[in-house]
Amino acid sequence: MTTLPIESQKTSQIRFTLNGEETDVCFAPYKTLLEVLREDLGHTGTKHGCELGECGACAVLLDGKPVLSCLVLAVDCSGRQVLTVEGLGEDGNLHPLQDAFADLGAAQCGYCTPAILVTAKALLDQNPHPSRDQIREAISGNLCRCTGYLQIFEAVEAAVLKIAAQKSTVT
Amino acid sequence: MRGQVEGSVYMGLGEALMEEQEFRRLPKKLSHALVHKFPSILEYKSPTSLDMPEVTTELIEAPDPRGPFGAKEVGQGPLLPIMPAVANAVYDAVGVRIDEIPVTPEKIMKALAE
Ligand code: FES
Ligand code: FES
Repeated sequence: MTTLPIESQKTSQIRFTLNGEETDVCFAPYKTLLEVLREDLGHTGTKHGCELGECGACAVLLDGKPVLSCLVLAVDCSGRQVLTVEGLGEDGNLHPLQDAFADLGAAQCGYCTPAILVTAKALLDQNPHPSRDQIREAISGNLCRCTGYLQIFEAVEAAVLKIAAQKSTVT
Repeated sequence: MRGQVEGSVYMGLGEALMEEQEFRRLPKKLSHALVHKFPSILEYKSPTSLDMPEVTTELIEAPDPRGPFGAKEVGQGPLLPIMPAVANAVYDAVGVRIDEIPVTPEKIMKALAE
């Protein structure tokens, strides 16, 4: 059996919305969303951990819901909305979650951070004032080896206040 | 720095309670090497955000004259006392000494039966 060169394996094509932008991409049909994001689209913010659905490092939002992108086939994403950590900030400004994570030292090595940020965003979109236990629950699928989680909880709580403060200055 | 301490407590709890390294030999006609029995974090469990207890961190600032500009490590030190603390807590609670990590329910049941 001969193996085709990698470029000619790109026989699938989809159009989807990546971080708010219409995006067309060609890729080999067996690829996961994680691989297409990182390898074909150069969006390396989403991290590659176990590739087995165990660690949570690869989480992105698919139509607003956190999914493990290592378990999603890219061909299934046609026409859907994908949000990665690259799309969190707006107009060159950090998202309040990113701001709070940086302020409060909620990362050590940072490998888990992009996935925890998007997972926390999904939580706050759905429940703008979560309790500590709801935060624990929401990120329980994201392993973090370094921080012991406590500063992550605190940063999510701080982001809640930041978002509330932003809203009150806008209105 | 607080994160280094709390991260160490977290890792210590994982080692004390669940992270067990088991090995197996590959067959002779392969390399006969010693490899991990469970090369996946489904079986090799680490604590999640649901397992992490509250931690009170107090930093005592005492410069180390031998470190550069008085610096010293903060990362691994807080990890080591966690395993004996957990084993002692088990002894305190049920009166059996487990001298091997991880301190699993099976080991405690066995020790209680003896
Ligand atoms: S890479 Fe570990 S869950 Fe996807
Ligand atoms: S900061 Fe290192 S894994 Fe979370």
